Amino acid sequence: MMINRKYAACGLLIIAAIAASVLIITVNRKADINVSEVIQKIEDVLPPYIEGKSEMRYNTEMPMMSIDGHDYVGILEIPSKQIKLPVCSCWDEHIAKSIPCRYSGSIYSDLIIGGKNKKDNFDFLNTVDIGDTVSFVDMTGQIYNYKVNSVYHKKEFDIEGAESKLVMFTYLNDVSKYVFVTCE
Amino acid sequence: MKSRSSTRFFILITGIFVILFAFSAAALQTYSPIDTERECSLKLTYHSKEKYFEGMEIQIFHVADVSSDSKYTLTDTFKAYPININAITSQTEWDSAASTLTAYIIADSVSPTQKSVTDKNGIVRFTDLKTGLYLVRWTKNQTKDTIYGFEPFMIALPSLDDNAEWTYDVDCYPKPGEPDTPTNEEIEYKVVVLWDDLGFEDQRPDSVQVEVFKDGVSVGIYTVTELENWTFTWTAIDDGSVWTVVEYVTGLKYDVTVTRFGNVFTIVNYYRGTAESRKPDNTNSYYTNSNNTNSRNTGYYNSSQTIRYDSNINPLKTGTHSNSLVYLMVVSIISGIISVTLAVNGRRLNDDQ
Repeated sequence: MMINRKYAACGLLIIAAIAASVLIITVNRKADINVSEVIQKIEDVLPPYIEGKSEMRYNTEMPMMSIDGHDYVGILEIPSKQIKLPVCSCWDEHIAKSIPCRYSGSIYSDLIIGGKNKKDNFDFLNTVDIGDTVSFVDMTGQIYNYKVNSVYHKKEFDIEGAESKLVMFTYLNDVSKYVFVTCE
Repeated sequence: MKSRSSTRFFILITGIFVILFAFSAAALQTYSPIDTERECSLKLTYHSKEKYFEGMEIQIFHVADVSSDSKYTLTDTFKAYPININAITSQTEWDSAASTLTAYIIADSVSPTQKSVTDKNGIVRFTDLKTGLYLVRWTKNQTKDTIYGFEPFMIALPSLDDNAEWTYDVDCYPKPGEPDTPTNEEIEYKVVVLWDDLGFEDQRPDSVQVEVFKDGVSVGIYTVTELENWTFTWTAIDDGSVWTVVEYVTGLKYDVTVTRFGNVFTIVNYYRGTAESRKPDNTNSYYTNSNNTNSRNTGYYNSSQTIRYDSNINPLKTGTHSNSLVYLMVVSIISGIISVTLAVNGRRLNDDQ
């Protein structure tokens, strides 16, 4: 009887180990996206840039370009940091590990973009300076230019006060804080 | 590469009309009702700093009727096209609507409501017009090697004047773009199909058909699929020909706009969605489509309504979870090994006994 219990306990622990492994793989799963390749494919078919207009739109949704199975709403550029990244159309934790994703809103109203603190993603966000130029090109070739007007950190995810035209955020694991960059 | 700076100049003139449209919409509650039975006239003057554009054929198309409270209803000729006139609020959208309708007019050889030729002063007049929304387009004007471009545009009759009064006799001064000179070299044209269907991506068709026209004559129909990332290209000699494209989407799920910048044609498919999921904001009642006899859903909505979240209160904090799982895995494996060892030893003891 004792042996059966030990076998059962042993089996349960092995199952727990396998389950934990599967969960780790799932949680850490990264979307297989080659940033430079995606940028190249988008730029190949974008029309010449024209300056985006601030105008009232009833439909503020952004057109999406489908590249290799993923939908993108634009290209984010920060020249001073030599950053050029595609922005995925909707929030997905797995995709956000690879490239920035739209968290909410629209470039035609106010847009919030998030990304993991990793290379080819938002690992530069904590180094952005106030006054840096940020550009966002939508998929129709309209370019919207902004200036960084604040960079701040918060323990919890709180975007209530971030009423800016463009907000970018990432989570800094080493200090367990979010960094928010707002632009106008 | 052909210059398309005419678009920028066109924006100047259409901007005026967009403002007029906006005022027209606002007039729903604050301005006097439109006398829909009254006849209108339209005078267009085509000239630049250098010249008057004489002998240019101008065509106008009655796209939509207007009600006394400024709501538009597509006319029989245009009601089959996937355009939602009453949901347009911005200059960009009016530009897109004009270029899209022009592409359909060329593709289907739609006859103009009226057409006339500019006189020596670049003036053309249209009279006895019903109230409503009109598309104005020109036919190619070429002098020797230079092509002058006037983008098509929409104009409302009547329009509001400076005193916020309806004027039924409208004067308009379209601005030309920079003249183009064909290079006679081979250039590449591109079509890219975009989607505005967040949350409804599964409704996308497997393919769309795009027909290409050169000077109004079809040169081919292309099937565009996700495999090519919804794009295709073709090359042609830049000889001053006017290229247009139209898209055919099966079913009635999408509204379509086609715009051209440079040599790129951008087609946007707007998913009409369901009435509930994409219900227009009631505070903007004059944008609704209730009077539209083509009975399509508006398909326009606020992006914040459909953005998808993963119920994630603290996004990107997955590192913490991951570390916990690693700890759980290590503990489980070690415990498992100990248990197996104990179990095997226990069995040996039992066997010995």
